[in-house]
Amino acid sequence: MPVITTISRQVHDLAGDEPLIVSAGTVRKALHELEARCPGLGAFIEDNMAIAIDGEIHQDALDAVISDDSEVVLIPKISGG
Amino acid sequence: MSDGDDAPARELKVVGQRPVRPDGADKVTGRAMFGADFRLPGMLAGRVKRSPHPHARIVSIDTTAAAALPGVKAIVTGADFDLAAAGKIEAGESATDVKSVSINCMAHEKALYQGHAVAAVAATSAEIADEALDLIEVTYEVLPHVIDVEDAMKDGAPLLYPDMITTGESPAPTEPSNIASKMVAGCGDVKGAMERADIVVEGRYRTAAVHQGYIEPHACVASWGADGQAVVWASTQGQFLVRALTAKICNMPLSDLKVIPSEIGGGFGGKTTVYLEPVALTLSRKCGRPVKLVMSREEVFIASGPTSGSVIDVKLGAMKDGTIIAAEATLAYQAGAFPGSPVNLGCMTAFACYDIENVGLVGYDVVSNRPKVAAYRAPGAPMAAFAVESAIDELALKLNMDPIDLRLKNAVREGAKAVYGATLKSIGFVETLEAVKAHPNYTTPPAPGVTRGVAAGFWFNIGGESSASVHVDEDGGVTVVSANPDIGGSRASMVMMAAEVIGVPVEHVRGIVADTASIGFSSTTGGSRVTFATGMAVVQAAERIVEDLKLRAAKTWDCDVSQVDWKEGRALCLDPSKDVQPLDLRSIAGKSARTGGPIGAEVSLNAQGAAPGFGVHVCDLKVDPETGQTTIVKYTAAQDVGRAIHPSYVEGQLQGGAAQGVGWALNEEYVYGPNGTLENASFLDYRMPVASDLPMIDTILVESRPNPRHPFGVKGVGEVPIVPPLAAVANAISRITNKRMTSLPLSPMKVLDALSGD
Amino acid sequence: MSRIRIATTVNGEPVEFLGGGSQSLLDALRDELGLTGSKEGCGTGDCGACSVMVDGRLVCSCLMLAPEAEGRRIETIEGMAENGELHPLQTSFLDEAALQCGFCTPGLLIAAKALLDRNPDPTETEVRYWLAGNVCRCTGYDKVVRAVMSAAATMRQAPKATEAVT
Repeated sequence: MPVITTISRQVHDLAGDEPLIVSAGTVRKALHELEARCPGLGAFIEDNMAIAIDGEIHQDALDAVISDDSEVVLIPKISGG
Repeated sequence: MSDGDDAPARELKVVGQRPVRPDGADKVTGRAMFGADFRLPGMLAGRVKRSPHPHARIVSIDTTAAAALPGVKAIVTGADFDLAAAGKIEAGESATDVKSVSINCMAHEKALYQGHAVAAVAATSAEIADEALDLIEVTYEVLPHVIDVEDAMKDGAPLLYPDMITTGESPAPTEPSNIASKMVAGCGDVKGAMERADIVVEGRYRTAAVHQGYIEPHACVASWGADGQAVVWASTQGQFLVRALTAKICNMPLSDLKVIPSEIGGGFGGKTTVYLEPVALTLSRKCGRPVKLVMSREEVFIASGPTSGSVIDVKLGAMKDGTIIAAEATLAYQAGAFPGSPVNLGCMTAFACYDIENVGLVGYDVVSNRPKVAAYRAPGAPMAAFAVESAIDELALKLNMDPIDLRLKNAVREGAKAVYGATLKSIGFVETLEAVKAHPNYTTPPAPGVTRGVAAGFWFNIGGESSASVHVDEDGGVTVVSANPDIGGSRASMVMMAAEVIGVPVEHVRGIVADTASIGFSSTTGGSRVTFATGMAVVQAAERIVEDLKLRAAKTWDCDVSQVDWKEGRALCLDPSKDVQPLDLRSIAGKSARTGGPIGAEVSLNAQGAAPGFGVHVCDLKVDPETGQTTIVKYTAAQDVGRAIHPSYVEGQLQGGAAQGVGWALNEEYVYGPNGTLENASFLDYRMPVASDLPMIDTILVESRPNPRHPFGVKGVGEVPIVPPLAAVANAISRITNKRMTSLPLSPMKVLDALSGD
Repeated sequence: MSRIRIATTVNGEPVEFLGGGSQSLLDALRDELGLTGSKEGCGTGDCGACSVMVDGRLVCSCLMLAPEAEGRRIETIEGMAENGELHPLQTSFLDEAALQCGFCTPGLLIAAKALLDRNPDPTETEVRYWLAGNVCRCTGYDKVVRAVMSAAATMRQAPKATEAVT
């Protein structure tokens, strides 16, 4: 099962002891799972974080696919000049 | 540079050429309409009254005398903006706190910086509006202020928000402070690695707040209709963002507002929010007439976004062979009067060029009585890179290593993990370093009396939501409509990509930037996303056009579509049983009714797969020992650009970013007096580089790592070039002064002090 | 504001308008005559975006009062192309990609033309110092300087065809 890693302390604080592990599927499904297990976490990630899947940064891309062997990393959303 | 193995297998006819940009003639003849050029019948002139105090409670505002002045048609104050209507919205790139944007447009209760808007007037002439501003009586209770980030972080500093508790700190603090948030990130065991290191360098670096410095001041016209439908014309990097923010702040349905983007006279991130539009629209709503608001240059300086000044502690631990095994940095960024500095991006980019096992990062977002910062080209990254690249230069000197070799030793390579945890793909940092190392500008040693500074930089680049439509006119001409204001020649790359796909000469393709009612949503022009993301939408729309044209040819020839090829703007029939001539675009388009009607396609997408970019800059300079004046004698900017659609405009991004970075390094800074007011709010005193300050800026476009996720291999190019110059300049000067130059700008006085050993 | 009638010549055409008070020539050009090609970047004569020619001299139109235009000969960016044909400097700016946002471009072109009118063969340094009063934030000046040098070369080769209008 894909393990989510992140340098964001806010995500860790919200998750508490809950391991950041989700089933394979889409980002949307993963966020639903996290939200169900840890209310507020999925919503926080959806609003504030970008999701790098296998090195490719996705923003607001809830349809993106996470496979069993995907590397999934949460980073703060990126804007720009 | 040669193309890599994974370059898209296309024979390119238009991409990579240097045609004249489609909006060019209008811009060299004065025909192009910028923000302040627009006017409507019955239009009123607006003016904004601004706080003279950096921090003050607004006790009362008396508008009676101003309202009685003949010619005054409307006056607004904070009371006219319903903060309850504000909240968080999705306004394109990310959720924006509309309430703070609203208060920044017009103060409520407190003025939080000198220049904060407290009232606005619309009148029949600018003179009357100015007179009315003087008649508005604002009673202030002046409060203690704090300007600098280190002062603002101290215990007992004047608080901008008495209820602000730092987020991201655990356990949460019990006392309020000016630290809006703290970010902590990292990996490995930094402490242990630092102890193991053969050599450690550390330092405290400071950068001043600097302004984006676009030459066109903010400008807009707002017109409220009697049916509640409104139109705003604005100079902006994002018309959809202006619509979302303005509608929310003015508490009106978003769909009742149409925003028409003008040509934009520079933005660099500074035009990715609103200052004037909600004020102009509220004035217009009050009097039923169109209102124009234009900032003066002084207003641009005191009231629109500069970027953060910063204080950064950096420490590197390395082995004798140059391998950096530990890195840590603590970054404190000015946010201005509202939370939201780009310190998180500073943290994520600080060490992004290097593959380091043990990394520790702490970031502080700190409010003070300065204008709210706005995005500026690679937001947050240049300051962090200044500190880190200076420290690496110090390491190179101590290890007696070539600065490029030291960077090559530690460079992130394909498959390395970025500090934020993700694996890096399709990156060309090593190739960029090697390209510089092999370039004559580097292999030739600097002239006597000249020193050389090297620095690198990283930016993520982003994709996001974009819409584009392509339609074929009856004569075979092609029009590309997109929704991204063109700040640096992006329309040229849009029409080139469409021309390439459809196989027509680029002169046959027109490029239009549409208003919010005329095309689907698009995120703001920013983050170096347009040629990548909007370009992807244009290419997909053009590909649909080609598919459609093939179908129409198949219908015409009564053959299967698989028997139709599209090449060089013509349909060719591959069915040997048909004795037919190729059909060109013009003949299909002229009779489109007979094959199904008008030919057009619109694509809306949320582009993913933006690839990061890396830059390496080399600066040769000399210093006048009498005056401390620095002269740049040669400058070279190399960058991993994926593929350049229009190389001239890619080079232009590198050159322009380098020039801005040189200004940041040498001269530019917000200078505050003891009373908390800005002392250099003019182009005379805020010194941006002019033509005689710079040499030619040589560019190296590294195209060996095209982005496989873009049809032509595009990577964003606009942000990276401002990241390396700060340290490239400072590193060169440090090699003259024999002293690490840690505080920007390196004005003649500071350099002179360093030379004299003070 | 008391307004007076001001008679002047703009791009070869005699024009009259009502203006005065503290109104600058730039404001008069833009607001009274609708010639918005000249831009206001600073209003204090520091950026050069409002550059125009007055009686053959390069001036910042934001620093000149409108009534001072009385009886003068004003040339603006709108008059640079003749009968719809671009001046070699304009062509060169397009060919060399010497503009990004294009806001400072009218001022740069007017200033560059003033230079080439008096010095048809400037060195790079001369171009850089002459244009030092025109601030461009997008380009880093590299392509601007190249465009001016290249236009100068073109004009030297074909002086007849590109003779400046005076």
